[in-house]
Amino acid sequence: MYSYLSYCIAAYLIVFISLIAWFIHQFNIEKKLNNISKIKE
Amino acid sequence: MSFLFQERFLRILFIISIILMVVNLYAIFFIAPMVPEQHYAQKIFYIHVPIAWSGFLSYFIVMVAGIMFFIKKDSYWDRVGLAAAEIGTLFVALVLITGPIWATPIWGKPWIWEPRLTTTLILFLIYMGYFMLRKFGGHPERVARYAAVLGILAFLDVPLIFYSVKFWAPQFQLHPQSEMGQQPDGILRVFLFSMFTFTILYILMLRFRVKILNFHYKLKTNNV
Amino acid sequence: MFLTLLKKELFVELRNKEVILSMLAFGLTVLLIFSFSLSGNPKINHEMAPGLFWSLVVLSSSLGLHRLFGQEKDFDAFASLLSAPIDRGTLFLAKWMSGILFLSIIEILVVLPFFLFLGLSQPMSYLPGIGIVLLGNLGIVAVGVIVSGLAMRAKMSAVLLPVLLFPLITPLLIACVKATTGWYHQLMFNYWQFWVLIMATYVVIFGLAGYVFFDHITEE
Repeated sequence: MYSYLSYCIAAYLIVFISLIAWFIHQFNIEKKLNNISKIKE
Repeated sequence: MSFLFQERFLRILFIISIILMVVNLYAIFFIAPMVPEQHYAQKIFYIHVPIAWSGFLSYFIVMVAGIMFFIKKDSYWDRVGLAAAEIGTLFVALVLITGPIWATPIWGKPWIWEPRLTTTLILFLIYMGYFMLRKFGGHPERVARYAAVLGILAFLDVPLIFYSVKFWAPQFQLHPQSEMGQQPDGILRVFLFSMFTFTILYILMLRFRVKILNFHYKLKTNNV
Repeated sequence: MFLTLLKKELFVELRNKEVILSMLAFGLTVLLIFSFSLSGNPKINHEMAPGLFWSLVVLSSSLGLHRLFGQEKDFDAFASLLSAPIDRGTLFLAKWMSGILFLSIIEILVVLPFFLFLGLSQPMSYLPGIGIVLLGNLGIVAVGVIVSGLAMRAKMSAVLLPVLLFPLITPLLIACVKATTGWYHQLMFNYWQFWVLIMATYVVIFGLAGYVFFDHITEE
C-alpha cells in the first residue's frame, strides 16, 4: 500500500524551513539595526 | 545578543517553544496512531490546522490592533498590527501550500473551492493589497491609519466570505476539520497539543517581531 | 448640507463627461472580449450572462472609482473641502450616492449592447433585476469609496485600487451573481432569497464602516 510519505515530508520541510528562515531573517534585521545604532553613537 | 535572549519573558518562551516543538514532533510521528486510509498524509493535519488557526488569530489581532490604534492614537499599536499582519500572512501562505499537498493524494486534485480554503485565499489576497498599501502609501503616519482601517475591514469580511462561498458551491463540503472531534483519543490529544504548541510559537514570533519593530522605530525617530 | 455636497459631486462629475465616455468605451471593449472569448453559442451565453454582467460592472467600476477623488487630488481641493465644517460621515454619504448614480449611468448605457452582442433573450420581469443591480451598486460603491480614499495618495494607485477592491467585494460579487441568476433564469424566490440577504448584510456592514472610518481616511 502506498503510504504518502513523500507528501508528508514535503509539507513538514516547507513549514519548518520557512519558520527557521523567518527567524534567521529577523536576526539579520536586528544585526543591521544594531550596526546602525552603533554608528550613531 | 539578540532580543530573543535579552528579555526574560522572550527567553523563557523561546526555550519552552523549542521543547514543545520537539515533543510535538515526537508525539505526531511516534505516539499518534496511523489513520489507515490516509496514512502519512494525515500527519500533515497536525501542523496544517494549528498554523491555520494561528494565522486567523493573527489577522484577528491585526483588527484589534487597528481598533486600539484609533482609541489610543499610539503608533505602538500600528507596529503590533504590522507584525501580526506579517506573521499572519506567512502562516496563511504555509496553510495554502500544505493544504494542496494534503489534498493531492486524498481528494485527487490539489484545489477545490471549499469555504475554508477559499476564505483563506481571499484573506491572503486582501493582505497582499495591505502590504502594497503599506509600501506605496506615502507618509508613515497616514499609512498607519489606512492600514488600521484595512485590517478592520478585512476581518469584517471574513464571515461574509465564508458563508457566501459555503452556499456558492454546496457540493464541496468535505473539509475534515469538523470531524477532528470524532477521532480516537490518541489522535485528538496529539492534535490539541500541536494547537497549543503553535499558539505558543506564534506568541513568541509576534513578541519578537514587535520588539524589532520598536527598535527600528526608536532608531528612526532619534535620527530626526 | 448633504444635498449641497451631493449636488457639488454630481455637478463636477457630470460636467466632466470624458470620465463617463471613457468608462463606456472601456465597458464596450471588455464586452467585445467577452463576446469573442465565448463560442457565440446563445445557450452558453444565457447560462453565463449574470456572471459576465457583474464582471463587466466590476471591471468598469474600478476605473470610475479611481476617479472618485481624482478631481480633489488634481486640483488639491481636498484640504479646502475638509476645512469646511462638514461632518465626514456626510461627505462619505455624498460620495457614495454620487458614485452609485455614476455607476448606474454606465450600467444603463452598457446593458443594451450587452444583451445585443451576446444574443440574450429578454427577462420576464424587469423590476427585481433593477433592485438587485441597485443593491449590488450600493455594496460595490460603499467599499469602492473607502478603498479609493485609501489608495488616493499612494503611488501606483491605479493598480492598488483593484488589488484592494476585488478581494474585499468577493462575497458581494458571489451574492450578486447568484441573485441575478435566480432572477434571470426564473427560479423561485425561495432559492435565492438567501443571496439578497447576504447582499443587504454586506451593504449595511460596509456602509456603516465607511460612515465611521471615513474620518480616519480623510484626516490630513
